[in-house]
Amino acid sequence: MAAFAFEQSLNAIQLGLTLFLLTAGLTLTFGFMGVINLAHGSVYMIGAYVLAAVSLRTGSFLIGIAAALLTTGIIGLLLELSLVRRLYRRGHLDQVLATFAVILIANGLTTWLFGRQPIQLDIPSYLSGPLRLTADLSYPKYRAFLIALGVAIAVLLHIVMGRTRVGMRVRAGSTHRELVRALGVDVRGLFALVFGLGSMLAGFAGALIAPLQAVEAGMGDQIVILAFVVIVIGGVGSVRGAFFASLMVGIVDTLGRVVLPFLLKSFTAPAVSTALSIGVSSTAVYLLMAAVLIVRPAGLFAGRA
Amino acid sequence: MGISAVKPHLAFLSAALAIGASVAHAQSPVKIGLITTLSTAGGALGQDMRDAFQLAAKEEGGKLGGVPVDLMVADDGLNPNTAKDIAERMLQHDGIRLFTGIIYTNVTLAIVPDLLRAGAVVIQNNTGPVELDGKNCNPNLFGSAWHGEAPGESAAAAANARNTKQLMTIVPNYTSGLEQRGAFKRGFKGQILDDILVKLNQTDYAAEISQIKLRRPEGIYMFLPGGMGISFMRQLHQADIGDIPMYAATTVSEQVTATVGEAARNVVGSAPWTPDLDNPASRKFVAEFREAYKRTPTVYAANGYDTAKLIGSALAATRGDISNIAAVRKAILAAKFDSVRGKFAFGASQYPVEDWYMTTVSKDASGTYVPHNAGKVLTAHGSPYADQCKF
Amino acid sequence: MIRLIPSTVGLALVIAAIVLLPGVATALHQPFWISIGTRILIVGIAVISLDLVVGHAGLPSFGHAAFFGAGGFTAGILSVQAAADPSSALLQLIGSEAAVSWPLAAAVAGLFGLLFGALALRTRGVNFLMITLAFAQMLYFVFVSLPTYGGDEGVRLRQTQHLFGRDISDPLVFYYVVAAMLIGTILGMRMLMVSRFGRVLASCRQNERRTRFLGYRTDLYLLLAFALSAAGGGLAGALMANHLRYVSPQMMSWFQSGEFLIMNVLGGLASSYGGLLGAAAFIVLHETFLSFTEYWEVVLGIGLLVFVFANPGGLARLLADRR
Repeated sequence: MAAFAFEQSLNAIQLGLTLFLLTAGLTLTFGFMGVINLAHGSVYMIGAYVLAAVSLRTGSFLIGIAAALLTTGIIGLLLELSLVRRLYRRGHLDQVLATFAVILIANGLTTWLFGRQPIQLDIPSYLSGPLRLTADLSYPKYRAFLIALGVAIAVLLHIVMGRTRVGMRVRAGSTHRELVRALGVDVRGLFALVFGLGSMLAGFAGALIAPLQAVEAGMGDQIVILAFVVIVIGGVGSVRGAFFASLMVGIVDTLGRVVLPFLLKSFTAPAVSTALSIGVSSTAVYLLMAAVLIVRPAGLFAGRA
Repeated sequence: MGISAVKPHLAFLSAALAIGASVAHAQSPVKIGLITTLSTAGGALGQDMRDAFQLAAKEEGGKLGGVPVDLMVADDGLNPNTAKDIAERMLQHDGIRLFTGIIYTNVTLAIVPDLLRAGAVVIQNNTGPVELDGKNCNPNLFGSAWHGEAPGESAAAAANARNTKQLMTIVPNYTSGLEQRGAFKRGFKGQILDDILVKLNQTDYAAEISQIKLRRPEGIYMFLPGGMGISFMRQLHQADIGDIPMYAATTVSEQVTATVGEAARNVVGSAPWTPDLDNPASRKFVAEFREAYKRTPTVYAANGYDTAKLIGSALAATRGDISNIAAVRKAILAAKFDSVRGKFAFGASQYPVEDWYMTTVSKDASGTYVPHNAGKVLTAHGSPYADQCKF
Repeated sequence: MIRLIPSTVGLALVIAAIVLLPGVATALHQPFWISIGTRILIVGIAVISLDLVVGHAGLPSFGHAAFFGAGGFTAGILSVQAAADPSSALLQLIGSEAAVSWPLAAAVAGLFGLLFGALALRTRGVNFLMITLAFAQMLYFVFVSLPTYGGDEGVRLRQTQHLFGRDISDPLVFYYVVAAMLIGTILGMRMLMVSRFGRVLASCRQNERRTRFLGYRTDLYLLLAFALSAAGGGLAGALMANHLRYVSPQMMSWFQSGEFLIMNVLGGLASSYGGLLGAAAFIVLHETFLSFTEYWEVVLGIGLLVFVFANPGGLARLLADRR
C-alpha cells in the first residue's frame, strides 16, 4: 500500500511538472506582453508532430527533440513577428479570436499534411520500460525522465529569471510593463525573445509528452484550457506561480481520480459514489480554481514573478 | 494522406443557388443520401465508409444492383445541426428517400427520427443506438453494422473464450462507455475486480494504471475509442504490468495497431468481420480496396461496402423503383447479397444477426503489428431487444 | 465605411428580411431555407444575449455555451419527463407547454448566471475570461457524465412542445414563433440600451472605476446583466432543443462558446441586432466551406484572421450607425 501511495505521488508530481513546462511560457507571454495566446496549444501539437516525423525519419529520438525545439522556436518567432505583434494594442477579445483562428488553421493544416489518424511514435529503448526502485516499487523509466527534465527546467528558469539581466527585465516587465518601457528597455526585442522561448517550451512539452499519448490534430486544445486554469490560479505573469499551481493541479487531479472514488465507495452506495466521484474529479481542477479566486481574485502569486 | 480523391458534393452551395425542384422519373439514377463525418477528429471512420461505398458503385460502373445510382455524399462535421440542415435539403430539395452513412450516435439521434417521420428508409451502417432498438424500432429503419451493445457483448464472449477469470474495466464516463460496459458485464462469466471510470478524452492515465498495477487483474476490458485508447496502451506498456489481454471489441483497428506497435500486442479485439476472413466476397473486397486506396479496409469500410451491396440487392429486386417504400423495405429485409461477412440476416428489430470473431495481434514479416482472426466467439448473434420490437 | 442609414432603418430592413424569408424560400423552391433560417434566428438570440455582457458591459465571457446548454437541457429533460408520464397534469404543464417550460429554461440558465457571475465578477479581464470558460467546462463534464439523461449522446425529445396548447411543430409556424422571440429580444435590447441600466453598463465598459466613484454599485449592475444574458442564452437553448428535437452536451462545449464570441464580434459589439447578422454570416459561411472542402477549418481560420485585422467594427456597423 505504501508503494502504491508513493507511486501515485510520483504520478501527481510528474503530471504537475509536465504541465509546468507548458504553462511557464504561457504565463510569461501573458504577463509580460498582455496577450492571450490560445494558439499555445497548437505549438505544443507541432512539437509533438515534428518529434514523431523526424525521429521516424532519422531513427533518433534526440535528433527529433532537437528538431522539435528548433521548429517551434522558429514558429514562435514568426508568429510573434507577423501576428502577435499586432495584437498587443488590441483588446483581449481580438486576441482570443485571432489566436482561435490560428488554432483552426493549425489543426486544418496538420490534418492535411499528416492525415486524420494519430501517427506512430515510439519511446527509445533506453528510456522504455519500468525502473526498479525497490523490491515492490517500480516506476516507468520515461515518466522518471520527465520528472527529471521538469525539475531541471524549473531550476534553469529559476536561475535565468532570478539571476540574469534578461530574466530581471522579463520579470519586471511581466508585472509592470509600462514602467520597464519607460526605463528605456528595448521591449520589442524582449517580446520576440520571450514569445519564441515560450513557444519553444511548449513545443518541448508537446514533444516530451507525445510518446505517451496519441499524436493527433487538436491534441493541444484541451490541455491549453488546463494551462490557462493553472496560470489563473498561480497568478498571471508569475513563473513561480505557474510552478506551484501546476503542482497543485497535478496533485488535485490525481487525488480526484484515485482517492475520491475509493473514499466514496467506502462510504456510500456504488451507484451514487461512481456518479459523484466522476462528477467531482473531472471538475476538481475547476473547483480548485474557483476556490483560489474567491480568496485571492488575482491568483496566488500575483505581482510576484 | 492528402486531400481525398473525390470531393463531396457541393451540397449546400449548389442547393442554395439552384432554382427549381428536381423531378424524378424512372430513367434517372436513384439518389442515395450519404450523410457522414468526413472532417474533424472522427472523420477517418466516415472516409473509410465512403471510400468502400464508392468502390462498390465503381465496381458496377456507377450502378448498384444493375441500377444507376447517384451517391450524394455530404459531410456533417460531427455537428448535429449541420446534419439536420443537410438532411432537410436532401429530403425537400433533392427528393431523396434512401439514406445511409451516418457514423456517430449524436448525429444519428438528431436526424434519423425526423428522416423516418418523413417516410424515408434509413440504413444505419455503424453502431445502431439502443435508443432506436427494441420497442423504439421502426419498419423503415435497418442496421447493417451491429446493434448498440454488440461490441461489449462480443468482448465478453472473447474473454470467456480465453478463460479469463477476473478483470478490471476501464471506460470513459459517458453513455456509450457505460452502455458497452453494462453489456460486457452481462455476458462476462468471470469476476469484475474493479470498474475504472475516466474523463471523456482524457490523455493521462498514470493514476489509473497504478491502480491496475495494484489489483493485478488477469485482463482488462477497455472501451477507449480513438486517441484515448492509443494513449492508454502506450502508457500501460511502460508500466510493470506484464502481458495481460486487453479486450477492446471494435475499437482497435489495423491502423491503430500499426501506430501503437508493440504496446498493442496484447489487444484482443472482436468484430463481425476481419480483413483476413476467408470467403470469396471478402477476399475480393479486400484486394480491390487495397488496390484502389493503398490501405487495408477497416470494419467500418466493410460495413459501408456491405451496405452498398445490400442496397444494390434491393434495387435489383425492385428494378430501381423506390416509389413503393413497402416493396423497398421487403427487398432490403430479404438481404439477398453476398456479404463480406459470409452469413448475413436481419433480426426481428432489423439489426443484423451475425457471427463475431476475435482477433489477436502479432508482428508480420515487415515488423508491423497486425490483428489476425483468432476464431469465432459468437454465432448468429442478434440484438437482445429484438423481441421487444412490434411493428 | 460610410454609415449610410440610421439604425432604425437598418432594423426595419432586418425585420423585413426575417418576415419575408419563408415566402421567398417557398417561391424559389428552397423550403429547407426555413430550417436554416430558424437555426440562424435561434443562434441570433443567443448571441444578442451574449452581447449584453461582452459588448455593452465590456466583459469578455467565454462561457456562454453553458447557459445555452442549461436552457436546452431543462427544456429537453422536462419534455422527456412529460412524455414518460402522461397522467401527471403538473408534468404535462411544465413539460409539454412551452409557455411554462421556456421561461423555466431561461430562469434555470439565469440562476446559473447569478451563481457563476457572483464568483466570476470578483475578477476582471483575462481572469474573468478564464473563469467563465472554466465554469462552462465544469457544467459540460457534469452533463456528459449524467447517465439518465443521455450523457454524451444527449436527450431526444419525442415531440415539439406546445405553445398555449397549440401544436407548433410545423416548420413554418415554428419559424415565426422563433422570429417573434428574436424580434422581441432585439426590441428589448434597444430599450435596455437607452434605459438607465443600459447607460450604467456602457459607463462600466468605458471605465468601471469611474462609474463606481460616481456612486453606482457596479458589481450589482454587472451581475444583473450577466444573469439576464444567461437567461437569454437559456431561452435560445430551449428553442434549439425544440428545433432539433435533440439536446447534447456539445451545446455546452467551449468550442460553442468560442463560436458565439466570433459571431458577436462578426456582427458588431454593442449593437441590438448585430448578433443576428453575425450568426447568419458565420453559419452560412461555415456550411459553405464545409461543402467545398473537408479542410474547412483552414478556410474559416483564415477568414477569421482577415476579419479581425480588417476590423470593420462588425456587420451591423457596415450597415448602420451605432445602435
